[in-house]
Amino acid sequence: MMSAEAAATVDRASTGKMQRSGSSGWSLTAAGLSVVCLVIFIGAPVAAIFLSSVYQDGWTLEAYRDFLSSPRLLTATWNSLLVAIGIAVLSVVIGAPLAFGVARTNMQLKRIVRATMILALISPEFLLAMGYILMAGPNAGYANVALRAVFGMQSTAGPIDIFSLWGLVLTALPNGVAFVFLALTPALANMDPALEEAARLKGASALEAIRDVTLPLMRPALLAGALLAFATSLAMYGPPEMLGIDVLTVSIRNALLGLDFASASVAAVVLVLLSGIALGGQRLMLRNEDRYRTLGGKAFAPRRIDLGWATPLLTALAVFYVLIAFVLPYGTMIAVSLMKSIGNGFNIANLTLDNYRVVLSDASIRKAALLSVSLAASAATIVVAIGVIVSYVILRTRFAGRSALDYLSILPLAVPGTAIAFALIVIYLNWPGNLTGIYGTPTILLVAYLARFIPIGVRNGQTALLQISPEIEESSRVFGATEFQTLMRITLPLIMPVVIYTWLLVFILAIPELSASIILRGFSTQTISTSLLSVWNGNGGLAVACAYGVCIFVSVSLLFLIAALVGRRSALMRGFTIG
Amino acid sequence: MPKPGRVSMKLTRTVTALACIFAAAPAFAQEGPLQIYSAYPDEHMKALVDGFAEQYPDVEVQISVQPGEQLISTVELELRAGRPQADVIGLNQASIASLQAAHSAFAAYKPAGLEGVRTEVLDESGTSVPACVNLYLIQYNTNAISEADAPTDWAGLLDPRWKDQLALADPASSQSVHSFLWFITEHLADEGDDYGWGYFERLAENAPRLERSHGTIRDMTASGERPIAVQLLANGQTSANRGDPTSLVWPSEGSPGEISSFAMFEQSDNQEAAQAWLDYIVSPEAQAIMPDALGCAPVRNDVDYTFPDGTAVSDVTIVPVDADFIANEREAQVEAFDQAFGR
Repeated sequence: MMSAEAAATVDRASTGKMQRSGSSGWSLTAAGLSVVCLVIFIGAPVAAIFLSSVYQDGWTLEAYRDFLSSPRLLTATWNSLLVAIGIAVLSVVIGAPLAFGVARTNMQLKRIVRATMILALISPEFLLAMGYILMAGPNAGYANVALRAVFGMQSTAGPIDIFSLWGLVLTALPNGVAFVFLALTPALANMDPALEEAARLKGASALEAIRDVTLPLMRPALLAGALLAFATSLAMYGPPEMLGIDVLTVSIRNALLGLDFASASVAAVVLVLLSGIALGGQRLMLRNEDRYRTLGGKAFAPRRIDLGWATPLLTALAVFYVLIAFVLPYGTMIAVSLMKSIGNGFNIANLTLDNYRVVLSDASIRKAALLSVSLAASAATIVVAIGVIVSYVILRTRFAGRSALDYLSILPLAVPGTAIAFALIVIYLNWPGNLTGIYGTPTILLVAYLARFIPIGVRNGQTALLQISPEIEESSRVFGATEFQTLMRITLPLIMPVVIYTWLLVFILAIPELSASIILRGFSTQTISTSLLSVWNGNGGLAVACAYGVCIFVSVSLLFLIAALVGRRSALMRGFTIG
Repeated sequence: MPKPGRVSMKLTRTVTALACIFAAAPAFAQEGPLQIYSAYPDEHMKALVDGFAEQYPDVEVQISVQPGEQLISTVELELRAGRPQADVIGLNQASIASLQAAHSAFAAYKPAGLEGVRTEVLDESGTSVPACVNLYLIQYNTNAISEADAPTDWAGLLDPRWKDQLALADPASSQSVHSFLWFITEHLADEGDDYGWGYFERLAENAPRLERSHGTIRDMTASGERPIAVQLLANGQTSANRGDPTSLVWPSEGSPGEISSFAMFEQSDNQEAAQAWLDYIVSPEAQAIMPDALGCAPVRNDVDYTFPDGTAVSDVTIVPVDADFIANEREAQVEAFDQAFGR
């Protein structure tokens, strides 16, 4: 399977000349609309982050000096880096063998591993953190109590301390492993087995062939997955906030709590630069993928390898991952959600369904759910519309600034939600943004969600357009249809399955959005995630929060199932991005 | 494949719907119901809202809860943007005074029935209306700590045996804990080496977990994860209602009492309903349910009350906090606390 970006390179070169239209009215309108949307939703926030770090009542580098002399902020930066590196490395250590096992060996539990990877990817990060805190709190965490009992340990704390940097790594690991796994499995499944066979014929063992042939071929996909895990770990907010660990996203939030805009801006700049470097690296890896491409015109299926004694080890790793990433955290949450008092343990007298009753009957939770659903639906619709229009301008017109639009549209991938929220506060509290009056209303959340999710719309839009042969559109033009009519009557119906899939994807990702929502929340802007965090932080308590979390997880999973079914109906879905 | 005409029509409809969403979104914010920003949890506010509805059935009340310090920053940003998004705010007296000093955001109001309220809890400026007195005490998990082993005073928390067992609210996130900071660093400052900022330097050696809110601390104590904590009476009351395995200690040095209050925004579109709420808060009816509602001690003289563990009010040394000091020194106190905790 050809990746979206590689396909883009080939098709752009071959189809550009004949297909790109001149400056028709529609082309100009579409280009104008694209520029306005991307500048408002992406360009302005990114500029605001950088500008506010060097401009406070005049140009100054004071904020950077303060940052460099603040032990707390430097510790936060160091923590962010350590955690992101830890997650990236461990994701490769766990994700790569699992991907190899599932794609190329006869290990057991393949389907369960795949399903767990998907669940880890769609699980809101703070839900897993909740499960882990209850499971691995050093004094009373259920796993710690069990381990102390099983191994007869005398101490009253540990052995696992979730409230540590390692604990934070653990909470985000399932997600990182899933990134590496999903980056590697298609590459492994499409590899030409002749390369490995040649090594075996020369006398290499199965493991030596993997080490000397397979691993080097997989390096780009492996690095791309690891860098994505690194960047998403830098951007996470919920788990470090819940564990009480200073990282850059939490520093931005803390600085804003004290209305210290200067510190918030520098923390945001540092975060954006670190994410930018990682994502730039990831794109570079994928761009050079052709160098490693092993897919020719000949059809083949990679041979299954019998690893002998190593196969049960892979199965054991799979069991470990499924337990850690899904069964234990969600099992703990379900158990706690059924308790009257969290202090009285899991026994019949302490069982209740009241926590679910509270969640399902609470007016503010209902209101938050309604707001999240409407915001997610609005964001998904606008993202899809912007995605189609911008992709059209980039791929099918001669608009001079189209490559700038291309870069601008993916920029938010490097801007964590906390940084976007900070930028929107700066823009919409000051002239002329304050004239819109959207600060404190749901509209500002919508603007934040658009900034976060436009890259998905544009990337999927481009991949969809690239898969439609330009001749079909040309025929329409030959028979007298205008460019706009061709888009509406020919192109849009053909890419409709992708449009629907992208809509559902953005909808699912937007529903539990936390990092921007928490910073922008006001009276009418409590969303599912901010209200859940509020319940966890005492406005209801841990047991109610667990019931709430279970409800969110079930809803998001059902929605994903629908998206997957819709996606499966269309062969076009292959190669589309999930985030 | 859908017919092309239909797609075009659907797109037009979608665009129209989007335009409506954009146009309608800012209007979600104001008008209609009485909107109350609250640092008190929903479950604490519910009894008050129900009681208010009995007296004012025509007024719909909406509550939006955020931990105190976060609520202060939310409101500060909204005030910078031009107007607050609520009619009334529920915070402690010191925090309301601090917001008032910075923004003059609240309207003075003297509710009917204020004459029945104890004078020592009244706000001289007339901006905030006292609802109840929330006291600091020690809460501990009875499965992990026996009554005999539990400390009897604040200084007892400095004992090394409580290392990794304690929880305390983070003054960077919690408005209430500033009352406790004032009590230890100002009120008890002259009582020896066990108090003043030295207290927090030694407390830091016991590595307490610094949580963003007292509600989280309540659950940490109930679960045994942090079996002993500096806690607010309101959460002790909630634990008692839930049947958590916890108990309370009234420290011998006394308990700082912060005044849980409400105030009405100057810019409220719903002044009449806001005033009705403030009238209700000090009414004998609301004060009678205050222990079950906000979980703290009523402010009227004519309402009987005993603490959730059965202790009589007269047996507890209640120390009214210096709201002015807390309002004015908030930032300096946070800095000094950070220094004591080496962060």
